[in-house]
Amino acid sequence: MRVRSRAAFAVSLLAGHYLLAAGLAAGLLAAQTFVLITHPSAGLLLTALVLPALFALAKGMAFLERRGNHEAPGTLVAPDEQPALWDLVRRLAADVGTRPPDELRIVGAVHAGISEDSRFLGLRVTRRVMFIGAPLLTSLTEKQLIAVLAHELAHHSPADTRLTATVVSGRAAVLRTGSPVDDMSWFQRTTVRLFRGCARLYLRVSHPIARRQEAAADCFAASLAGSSATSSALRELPVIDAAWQLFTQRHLTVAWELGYLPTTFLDGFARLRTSPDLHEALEEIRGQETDPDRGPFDAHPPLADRIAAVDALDLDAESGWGDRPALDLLADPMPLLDDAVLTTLVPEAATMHRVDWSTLAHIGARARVVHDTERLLNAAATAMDQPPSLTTVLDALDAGRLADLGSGTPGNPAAGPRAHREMAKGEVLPELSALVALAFSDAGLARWELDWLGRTTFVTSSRDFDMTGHLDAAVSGSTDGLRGALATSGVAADYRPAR
Amino acid sequence: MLSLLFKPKELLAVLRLLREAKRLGVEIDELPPDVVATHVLPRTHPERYGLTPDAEVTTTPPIEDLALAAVLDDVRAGNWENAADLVTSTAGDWDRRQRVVSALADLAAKEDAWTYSWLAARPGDPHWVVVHAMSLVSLAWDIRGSAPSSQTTRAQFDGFHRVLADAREAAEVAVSLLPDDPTPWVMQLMVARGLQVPHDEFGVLWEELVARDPLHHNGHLQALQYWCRKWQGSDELALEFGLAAAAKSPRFAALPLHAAFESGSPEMWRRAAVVRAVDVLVARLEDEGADTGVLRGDRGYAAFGLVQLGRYEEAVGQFRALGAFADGGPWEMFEEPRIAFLTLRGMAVRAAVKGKRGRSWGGRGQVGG
Repeated sequence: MRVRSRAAFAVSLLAGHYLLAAGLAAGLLAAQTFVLITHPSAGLLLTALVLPALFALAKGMAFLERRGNHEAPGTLVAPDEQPALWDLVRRLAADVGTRPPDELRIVGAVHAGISEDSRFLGLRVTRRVMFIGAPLLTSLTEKQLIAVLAHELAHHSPADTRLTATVVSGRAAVLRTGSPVDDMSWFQRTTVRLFRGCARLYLRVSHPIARRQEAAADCFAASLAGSSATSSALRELPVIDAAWQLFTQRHLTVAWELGYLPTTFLDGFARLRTSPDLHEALEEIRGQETDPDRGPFDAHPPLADRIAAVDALDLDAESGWGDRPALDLLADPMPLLDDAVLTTLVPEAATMHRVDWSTLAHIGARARVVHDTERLLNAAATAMDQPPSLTTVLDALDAGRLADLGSGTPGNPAAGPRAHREMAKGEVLPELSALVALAFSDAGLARWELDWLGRTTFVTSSRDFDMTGHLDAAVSGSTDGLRGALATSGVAADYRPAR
Repeated sequence: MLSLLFKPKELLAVLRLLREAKRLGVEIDELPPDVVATHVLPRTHPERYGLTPDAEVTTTPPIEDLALAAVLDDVRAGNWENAADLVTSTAGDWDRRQRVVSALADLAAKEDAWTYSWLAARPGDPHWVVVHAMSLVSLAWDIRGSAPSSQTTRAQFDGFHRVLADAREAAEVAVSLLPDDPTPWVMQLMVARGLQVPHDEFGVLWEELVARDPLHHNGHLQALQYWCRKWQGSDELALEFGLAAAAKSPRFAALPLHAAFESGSPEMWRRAAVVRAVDVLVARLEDEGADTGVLRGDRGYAAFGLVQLGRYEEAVGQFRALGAFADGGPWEMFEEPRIAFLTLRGMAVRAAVKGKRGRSWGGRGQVGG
């Protein structure tokens, strides 16, 4: 099918949703009127059925229409706040031949895109919002950013055929409408389910158009930013994505459960990006050209094909674009980007405690260690019928209760007490070690540090912290050495970690 | 369950079990194995064929080594001295030393306080080190158990590997103290199997063992286990090892049968080399009794192989020689050794009576396993 006729068919499918509903309503009304005139009493009865049916139809259409009008995420930037970025976007829109967005929003995600508030499943666009991910702004060069933004704007360019832009808006609206929402009523779920049948047909019919659009958008990007900046941006996106995931999972939210966030966000991400520890891992991702999982209806061709196609165009950049960092386009960027990340997180984030990166890492690591010692403390408390504390654990060991401090059982049902003790030793030793480390840390003698790869190390100021010998002796029958070392360091005997 | 309707005998057995379970107030799969056995085992009147009645069959072996039995009792009573002396006196009689050291090590793996009394009274006793090292091997296997790895917990594996590493260290000390003793090298083979070392590394340890005792009985059994598919080898490698050992000495005539048993495959039993090995073993056993654990093990494998080959009358003959004793191999490889023994014996008797000569049971998969 040629693109124009396919686009026309796709658009007619969109319109079909409405025509179908309208036709159904008109038919019902006509039948109702006919029956009312010929058999007034039966007609009245029928009204009781037809009116709810019409109501349900109307409500269903209204529901499909309303979804998608929700508060946009991210931080809104006004043209007078960030003139350079706005100028760039406007100039790109003009080059691509589409209207510039009505809003620019910075979001805390590896993402760039345009979202439209549309009526009638994308058949009419009311408001256009462009989203730019904060990590892209800190990681890309100006030219690479241009390639990314030009690609997104090109999706809404009417240069190819007027209908294809509508098709793209329609795909976005259809995907959004068909996606499940948590708090849907039975009626809403049914409406969405009925809608999905039509939606799948629409997405299939429009897929080749969307794929062609991706290629065209890459071509636009290359013609503005040049082939080399465009393909390097395509290569860079999976790298930024991997780094951002590591950053958000291992660093930004390392003490999230305890209600802590770092004071500043993007400076940490910048340090992570340039950390020598990570260099090798990120280089590997850069070489792989891996495709992100964008769901079954995604129309992007494979990344390697896109890069090859862009390189084959061998286009030079339009003059005037520089190789400076994209960040230079922003006035006072860091507060803006941090705010974008914060507004992208759930609302509770705004009320969390804010601490510097090293404190955050320590708090996060300490919480994990506390968690790792709970089992041992409780087992000792149960065995000795005493409050859960370091002393109780050591008393239990001295009382020969090692086997009772473990939770595992040997594989041989006929195994003796020695096997139970040996298994308990393997479990208790690391937990006791963690408990002692906690005691030193809470006494101000040590702390945990986190490198940018997400590895935790225990750092102590006292030179003779090596407890290995004392810990081994403690689980092998003598806690004297460990008790002595704790007393010398000034750790309270009844130490018990606070949460 | 529905398919049982077409098998009236099995259905009746299940109904009997259901009634028994109800009487005992448990679920059918919680019934003790002995109870299940009495309801589902073939009823064959074993005594009519010169066999020991089912109820008298036991997994407890008769006392074979009086001195060993005595020192084990001593140790249980808290006296280690005679045990220490016995270990010391076995130097040179390597097969017996292996039995004595293993039996004491199994005790020490349950509770080791007595070994520390021994160490305190005779510091530096090299024989203590041998028993200690072996007790670590035994302890490691107690922690792991014999379940397949999918049913072994992380903690059990961690303990297994940790204690095996300790055992290796202790065995190295024993080697340095008693350079002529093959016993620590048998331990090294067991450790190597547990830690799944590569073939060439295992080969080095094997050479050390056979240099000290070329025909070490337990050493050969341990090595065969290593060459099995479930550890670091394959069905082919295990059979190759078993055949080579059998060619080396008649005392290893059962080893090819061990390999076939471990393969779990009926086809393996029908290989010409295995059939020949069964014949050789049966012929060798003709002039032997069943007084030792080793002989009973050989007869057990012979009986198992003969059933696999459909030679039921000969199998019944082996069971007749075994009498009441279901100790040792291959029964100990089953979760319920006694029931495995009775099941196979019952099948052999029934088939022998019906005269189903020449028909293999192989098509129905491995018996009882």
